[in-house]
This record gives sequence, C-alpha cells and structure tokens, in this order.
Amino acid sequence: MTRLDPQALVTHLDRLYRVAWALCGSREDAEDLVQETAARVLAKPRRLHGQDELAYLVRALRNTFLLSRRTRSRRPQEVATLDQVEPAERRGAGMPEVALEARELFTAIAALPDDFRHALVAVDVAGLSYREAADLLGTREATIASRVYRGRERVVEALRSGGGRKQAGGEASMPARSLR
Amino acid sequence: MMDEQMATEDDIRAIDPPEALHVLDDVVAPDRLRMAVAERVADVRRAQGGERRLRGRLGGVLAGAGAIAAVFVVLGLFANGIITDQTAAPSARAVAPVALRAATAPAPAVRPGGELLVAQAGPIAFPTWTRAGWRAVGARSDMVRGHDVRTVFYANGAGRRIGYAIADAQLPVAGGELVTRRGTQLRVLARGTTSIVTWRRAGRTCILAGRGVPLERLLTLASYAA
Repeated sequence: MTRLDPQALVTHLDRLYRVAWALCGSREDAEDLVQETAARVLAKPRRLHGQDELAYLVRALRNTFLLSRRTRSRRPQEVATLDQVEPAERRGAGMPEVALEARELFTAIAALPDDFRHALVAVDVAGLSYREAADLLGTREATIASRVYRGRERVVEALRSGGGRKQAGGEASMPARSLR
Repeated sequence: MMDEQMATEDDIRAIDPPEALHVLDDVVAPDRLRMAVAERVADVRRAQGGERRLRGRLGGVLAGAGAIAAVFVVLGLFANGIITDQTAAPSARAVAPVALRAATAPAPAVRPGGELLVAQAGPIAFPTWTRAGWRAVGARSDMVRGHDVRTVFYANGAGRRIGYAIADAQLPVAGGELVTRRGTQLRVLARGTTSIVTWRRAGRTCILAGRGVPLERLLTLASYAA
C-alpha cells in the first residue's frame, strides 16, 4: 500500500489553500485550516489506500474543516457574518483585479448551501473528477454532477447580482458584469 | 435537500465552469503559509531520516555486540563528531550548502512594484533580481542547528542557478577573502566551480552561492542585496 509522501502537502499547497478559502470564505481562516490539516496529516505516516494523493489531502482538509466547524459551533461565536471576516481591502484600494475577483468568487462559493458548496469545491476548485468527488462526499456521480451544476448557477447569479458579497443562495437581480 | 431536483444530462453539459472560476487558478498560497508548511514537512523528514539512521546504526551494533558495545558506539559517535554540541552556532560556511540544495517549495510571488518577492527573512525581503536577468524559481526553509535559514533560488536565461540563503543570526565567519563592491564589504568563502559570498545585514547572515556562475556576477548581486 502506498504511503503519502509528506512533500505532497507542499506540492498541492496552492490547491489546498484555494479549497480551504472556498470552504471557509476567508483567507485568514483558510490559512489556519491548511496549517491545521498539515499538522494532522503529518502527525503520523498515512496510507493512501489506492487514492490519489490530492484526493487524500482534500478529504483530510474537508474533515478538518467539518471538525473545526463543529468545535466552533459549541463555542461562543467570535465572528458572526461573512461581512465581518471580509479582508479590509476594497475595490480600488490598489489590489490587483484578479485578487478582487477571486475574493468575490470565494465569498460566493462559501455562501452556497453545504451540498452544492462541497460538490463545487471538490470538482471546480480542487480539480477532482466526478468519481473522486462522489467518493469523497459519499454520494453518486450523477448527484455530484447535479450539485456542481446548481452550484455554478448560483455562483454566477451571486456574482451578477452583487460581486459575490451577497449570499450565493439569494435571489439574482440585475447583471453587473460579463461572466462567460 | 433544498433544490436537489436532478439536472438533466443536457443541463449539465450546457454549463461549463463559468470563466470567472478560472480566476481561482491564479490564487496562490501566501508565502508565510508556504514556509510554515514546508518547515513542518522538513521537520517530519528530518525526524524520519534520523529515526532510520539511528535504527540502522544502533540496531546492527546491538544485535552483534550487545549493550556494552552500544556504549562504545555512542562514545565513538561523539569522538567522530557525528553527535555534536547542538548549542554551538553553525558557521556561515556550514550553512552555505543549503543555498546549493534543491528547492522544496515553489517560487514566492512578486510584490507589487516588481522589485521584491513576498518571501522574507525577518526584516529582509528577498529581491526579484529580474532586472539583472534572474528570476525566482523555488524556495526552501531549513533549521540548521537551531537556526532558521530561508532560501530562495533563482535561475537565469542560460539555465544557471543560484541560491540566496538568509540565516536568522550573525553566524561566525572564518577565513575567506574580504572584498568591497559598491562600498559594501562582502566575504568570498569559495571561488571556482562553486562560488560562495556572504555578508551581514540587519543582524542576519546572508549567503549567495552558485555553481558555474562567475564570482563577479554573485558579487554584483550581493552588493545590491547587502
């Protein structure tokens, strides 16, 4: 059975960071989540059980996220809304356009209902196949395809209606920018 | 489950990932996170390597000669300097090989302005050196006898590679040749196939090393970084 090479954490770091940001909705939380995941993964030798190493790491990241969310829900909330954890930089504050767009996107993805978000993150952000995503999320490929489709629709709507700062689950209004 | 009605195959085929999602491909992990994870990985590798070496050395000896022989082996390790005083600071010469090793992390991102990378060692930010014809191609982070050493690797158009390492303290420097470039004192620790230049800045020790790179080229780069 193949062992996970610890170096895989460095190799896939950018992707893991993007997945973490999409799950958490904030850069700071994403950094914490990746660090925590790295610490857990490196705590002992890991076996891949036939999995791709990226799929293994995405699963570890997601499990750490779910665990930390459960733990956090039992503690008094330090931050209440996504608006409060938004980075301080705003449009026009000298940040590159790409960074702004990415932040809006992450915010929109993080605001998706859980099922859509996890499917979209697994496929579009982590780059897993539908089969790997189905395995990760314990569901069928067709369900993943459907959730990814709905998730994309909602993200597009959220970006059109307010640059992703509003909830991706909310109603769309006037188109603000070209997405395709 | 809300809105869980199945999309048809046609629906799914009709919508590719929105182009907006491709923006995410440009998002990279911040350097502090990269360094932190690389350090954790390096720690695990060192621990695994040390465990294997110790098992290999002691296991064989113990099996053959018993516990008394093991005592002699340990004494022998001390005598041969394999086990050394971990509290002694390494010399700049001892740290220099780090700058010639392989990268363990991707190249750090460039800060706005294009002159500096986001990677830094204490107050010193690593330069891009793009105007001198070099570009960052990787990074690594090491602990050398308790001292944090950050390294960024650069390559030029000819495929030559250099490493710029910064240790977190003023390490002892012995020998070498003092030279001055642009009013900055630099010390050449090696010249020839492998060239190594060191200098001190902001309470830290900087080392620039490369194989097959003219010493003058290193001195020029060092004088701009010093």
